[in-house]
Amino acid sequence: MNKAEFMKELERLLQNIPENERIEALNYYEEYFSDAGEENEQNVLAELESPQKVADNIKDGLRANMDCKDNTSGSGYNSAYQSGAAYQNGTSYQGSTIYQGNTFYQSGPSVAPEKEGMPAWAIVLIVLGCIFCSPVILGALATVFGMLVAIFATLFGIIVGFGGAGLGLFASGLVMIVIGVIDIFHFPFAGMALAGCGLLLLAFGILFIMLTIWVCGWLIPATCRGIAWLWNKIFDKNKGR
Amino acid sequence: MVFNTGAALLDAIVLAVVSKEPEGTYGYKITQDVRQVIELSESTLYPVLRRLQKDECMVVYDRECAGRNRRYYRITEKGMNQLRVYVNEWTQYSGKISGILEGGIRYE
Repeated sequence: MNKAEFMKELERLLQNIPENERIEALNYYEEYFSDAGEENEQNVLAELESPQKVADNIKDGLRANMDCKDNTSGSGYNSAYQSGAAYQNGTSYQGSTIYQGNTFYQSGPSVAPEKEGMPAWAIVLIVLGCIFCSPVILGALATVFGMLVAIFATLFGIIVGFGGAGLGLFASGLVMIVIGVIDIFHFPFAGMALAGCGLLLLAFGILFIMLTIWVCGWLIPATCRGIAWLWNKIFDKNKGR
Repeated sequence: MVFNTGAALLDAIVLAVVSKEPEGTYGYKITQDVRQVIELSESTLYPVLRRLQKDECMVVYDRECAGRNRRYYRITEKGMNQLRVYVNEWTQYSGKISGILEGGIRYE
């Protein structure tokens, strides 16, 4: 294999990378051969091993750059590099995208800054997705919100109802006992019956008040715990995947 | 060479080599300079140069040379900062390793 064959094969292998990257790489190796000189051509060819290996290296390099960009790379090297840059600049470092900005053949020391961030189509897709899913998302959110309101309204109703009933029974029980005790002197039996009924009412009043206290002290915290548990279960499950 | 050169160390070496030339230097020469100190396949260097360029640690410019264009790489301010971070890290790291290999731990 000579240099021309090598370059032709390399160009063929680089067909599936962006054009500016391909031109850049081919120029680099073209120059490399020239700088090595014709007398070293065979050495360089031997050193480079094969077009396949060179192409693989170029593509790996492009991929590493992509990983750096979306920060999902498992490569410890990239993150170490990023923290180094962050340490210097006080900002988190973002690798630049590789598909944008053609700096080739630009003379002078300055290089056009290459654009950063998500490609426009990805943002459009995400926005569209949000719009189309919004009925579902809003529906689900409304359902959850409605359920929470219902649970707390029920608890509130129980407290007010039981509490009110308890207090009412307690108060009327007390009144009946007082009236009954007073009446005992005039109508002993009616008075005693009245006082007895008053005691019963008092007992029911106390029962309802105890129920209310139980609801406040146990049922509400238990409900909150239950909701929290359900929440954790749903989200832990999602994370666990 | 029994020790591997990791990607960060290779970046550091390349930045150091390029920083030695205020006017910039070119691919073939960088490869030869780096190969003075570590074993390196000739195809390994291009992706490193390209990445450092994208990370704005180096800028490139073309210069006429013997009737053809040659692409020169020159270190930027950002590249210099990055190199300082690497040098600092390397001094600490290599000091610790040397210390433990030579049998006594040196403290910085």
